[in-house]
Amino acid sequence: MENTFTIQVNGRNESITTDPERPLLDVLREDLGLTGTKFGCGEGQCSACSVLVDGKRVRSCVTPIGKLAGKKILTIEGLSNGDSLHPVQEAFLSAAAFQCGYCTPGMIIRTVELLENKPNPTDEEILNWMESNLCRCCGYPKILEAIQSAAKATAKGDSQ
Amino acid sequence: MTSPVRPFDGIEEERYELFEMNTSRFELSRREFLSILGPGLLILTYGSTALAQRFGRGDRGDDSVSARLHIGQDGTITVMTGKVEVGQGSRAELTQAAAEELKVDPSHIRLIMGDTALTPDDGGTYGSQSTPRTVPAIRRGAAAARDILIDAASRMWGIDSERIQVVEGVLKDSSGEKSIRYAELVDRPEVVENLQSSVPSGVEVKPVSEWEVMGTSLPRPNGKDIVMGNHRYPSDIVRPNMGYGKVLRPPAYDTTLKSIDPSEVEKMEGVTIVRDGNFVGCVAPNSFRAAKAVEALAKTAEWEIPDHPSSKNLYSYLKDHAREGGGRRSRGDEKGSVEEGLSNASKTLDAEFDIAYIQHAPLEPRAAVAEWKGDRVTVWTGSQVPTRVHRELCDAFDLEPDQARVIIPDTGGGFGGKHTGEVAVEAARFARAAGKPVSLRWTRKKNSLGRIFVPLASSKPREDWMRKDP
Ligand code: FES
Ligand code: FES
Repeated sequence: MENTFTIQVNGRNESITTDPERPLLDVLREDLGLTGTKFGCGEGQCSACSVLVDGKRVRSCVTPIGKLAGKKILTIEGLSNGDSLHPVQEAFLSAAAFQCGYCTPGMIIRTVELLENKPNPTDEEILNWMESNLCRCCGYPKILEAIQSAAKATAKGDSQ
Repeated sequence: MTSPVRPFDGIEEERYELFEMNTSRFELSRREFLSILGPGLLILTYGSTALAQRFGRGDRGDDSVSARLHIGQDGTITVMTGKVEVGQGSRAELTQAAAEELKVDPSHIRLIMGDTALTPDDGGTYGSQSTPRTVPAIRRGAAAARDILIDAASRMWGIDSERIQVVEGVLKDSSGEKSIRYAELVDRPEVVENLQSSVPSGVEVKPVSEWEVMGTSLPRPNGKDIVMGNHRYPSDIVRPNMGYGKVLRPPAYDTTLKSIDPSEVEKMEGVTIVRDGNFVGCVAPNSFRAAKAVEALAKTAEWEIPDHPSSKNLYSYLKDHAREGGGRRSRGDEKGSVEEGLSNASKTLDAEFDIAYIQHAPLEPRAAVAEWKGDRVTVWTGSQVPTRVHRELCDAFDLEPDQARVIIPDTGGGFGGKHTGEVAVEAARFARAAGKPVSLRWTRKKNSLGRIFVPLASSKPREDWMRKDP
């Protein structure tokens, strides 16, 4: 049975009429055309589908749309401001922290959440936090480097 | 399935990658080509690559095109290669190769990879061959284009070509008085004569000491799109009025579908059931509905499941059924005798290793979008061997080569597991039956049970030492 839900996606109110059990990931990709968030496993195992819901990371492949009425959702597409990148995106780009890049949107979203919570993470804190996100190309050292430099850039930005 | 014997040429691909021969061969006519790219200078780089030979095309001699290069009258420089980008960095590297020889900034090169309507059939992307084989091909093609253009300028200005320099795609005479851009030259009759040209023998590429672009660290050309979530991987392609497909997967290998009752699913809104022998699936307006429809069908399905060896006994099954002669290809440089060596050994070690099936487990599952226009199909999919996918489509739907086009957007890592075209054929079947474009993305489960694995193995190495004084 279809229902209508209003959610806020990247700052825009969207009214969605669909099956309440449908995963948020499908709604983003298939109804709203936001294909930046990736399907990796569909089972909550890889975090490629990470988005922020009211600032907290959720795996959108296992989050039914029916539970999200009134929530604020941020996807990879909502991070940049027009053509200018979010500092975390900038850091991933300049560290070349991806090979195929399929895990990258999920990694970036998870990092944004990390830096909101711990602006100056230690390497150990970074590794623990990122534990959930898989990169099959195994570019972990570069990902770590990107997160470290994103943390520095964000800290600088804050103190200005 | 037999593996044809091929001469060893120094590249050792994983063997399972070689089992099927790729025989498709199709070249667009120049007219068709230019209708897509617009008028301009078109250079073909020929060269029989060892890879092409290994796929049974050695008889073509030197006529396999390994790269194409086009300079349009609008100044766009397009390089076309059958190689694909799956995260290994070829897009940056091949762009650099063209930019170096043409003496332009890499941002001026448009690199088209893996599009069977535009790019040549050079085997596929595996065996780490893009650097040793495709980079030189593109360099030669780009160097030839540069030379043709310098030559044209030299005739036009009536000066020696030695006196012409190229800086950022602009040809200048040494006095600094005359200059002309590549794009303007491409318009000229002296160049038009050479509109389609192959690389003359003896074309000279820039020596390493003069490299300006190659050997530097060029960021991935579409890196910004990737971090912004804007790059469209095969699973992200959207076509107008597109439906989403799901396939009813059998519960085990080699099963036959005996019966199914579609009556309940037929009542579901917007759902098309597609059935073709053992292949059954549903197309729906979104993938959730398609999955629900397939679940409902699965409840009614009856399968004939043959006996399979249990996973517990796989290694003994393998040893009982292994055939002679599947071992390493001879390099023709064996010396001595194994028996003799063993009997003279001062010490012998025996060991046995079992190696499980290994899944390639790409993070992006196999995916394809297919769209029919009349009796022509275009498929966007992730594959390391676009021409093989093309052939599989032609075989499955009885198409002439020009009726199928396979486009490979930069894809999520394949790791050797994205060679075949089943997902493309499945998507095309769906799209034809549903009468609209269809997107199909394999489930994680199907992806893990899919056809290609690193094979199960059991090996028994034996190491012997021979020493003079033990
Ligand atoms: S796709 Fe959601 S966790 Fe893997
Ligand atoms: S870059 Fe390919 S999966 Fe992470």
